[in-house]
Amino acid sequence: MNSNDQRLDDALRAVAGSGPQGAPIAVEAALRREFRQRAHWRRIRIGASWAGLTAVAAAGIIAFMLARPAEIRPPKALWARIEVPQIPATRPVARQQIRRRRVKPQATEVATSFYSLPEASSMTPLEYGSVVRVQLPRSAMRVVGLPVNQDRVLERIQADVLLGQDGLARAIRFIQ
Amino acid sequence: MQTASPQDDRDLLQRMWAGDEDAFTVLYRRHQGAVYRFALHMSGKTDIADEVTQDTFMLLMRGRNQYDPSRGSLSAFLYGVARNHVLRALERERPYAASEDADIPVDSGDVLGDLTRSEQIESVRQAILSLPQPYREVVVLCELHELDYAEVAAMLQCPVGTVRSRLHRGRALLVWKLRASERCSV
Repeated sequence: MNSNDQRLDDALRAVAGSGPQGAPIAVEAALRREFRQRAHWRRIRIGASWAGLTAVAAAGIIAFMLARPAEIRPPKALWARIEVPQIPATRPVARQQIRRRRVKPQATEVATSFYSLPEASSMTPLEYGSVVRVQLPRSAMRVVGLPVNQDRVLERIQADVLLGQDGLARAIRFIQ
Repeated sequence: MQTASPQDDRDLLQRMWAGDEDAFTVLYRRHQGAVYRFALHMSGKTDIADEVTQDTFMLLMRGRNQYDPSRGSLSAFLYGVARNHVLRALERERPYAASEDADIPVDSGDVLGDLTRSEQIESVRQAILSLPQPYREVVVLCELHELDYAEVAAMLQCPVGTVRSRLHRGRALLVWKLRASERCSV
């Protein structure tokens, strides 16, 4: 390094250390003001986004509820938890008695096969389920494409509803 | 720029983007000096330096998509943004018309020996400002801001060898310009 290089280095160091070392305070003030404004508008935008999302979700739920056929909704009372009947303490009985007491199956009850409900395909796959007997208007049979006599449309009919593990109805069969 | 770990900067950035004004203030105070001085050394004008500093930090506060921490340090990003703003401002004003292919005579004599300190500083500052932009920015970044060649190369998106050669040529041009200015003043 010759003397000119050395002196140039010294001069450059002097330049680096001279003059203003930072922006005027007004720049910081302007930037902070801008930051506050942006933060304010950002909060408003986030609030509006949440309100919008909530409105869309509510609209979606309402649309879904309206789109579901009303007929397949069992009456509220029939969704009540079924109490397990109290079984009396058993006494040992003779084999003959058991045979004698065996109840014949009711030959009069005729059921259709289970029909999948329209919205069942979009639900989670059925892992296990339970069958609940309900009473519905006969018009509910239209939901699964069965013919209904117009004169008897208001009559009530018994039906077995297959509920999935999530408690939602998957299929239905009608009992005659 | 003040020494700050990238993790510190990242934490502050996350807080700033979440709307924390204090985090923004800390980041600004940590990095504004370097950005401002870079703009001032490159342009020689305080109004441009003010504007560049403001625009650089405005861009930073605008959102996450402006800066990707995986691509480099925040200071390198800020230098890069400031450089773009400075070049745009200089393009607008074109205050100095310097020839990039000026002949550099062979060094001889003690050209800086007789300058008084304040004259010397002003002469060097003017000489830096009159350098062609590619030489000026490496002189400012490597000599005045003491960044290493690799950092400057990443910032300018050129090989380290190019930074070295530009710095060498920039320094030679400075000596030549200072000697010329000394001759004029005699």
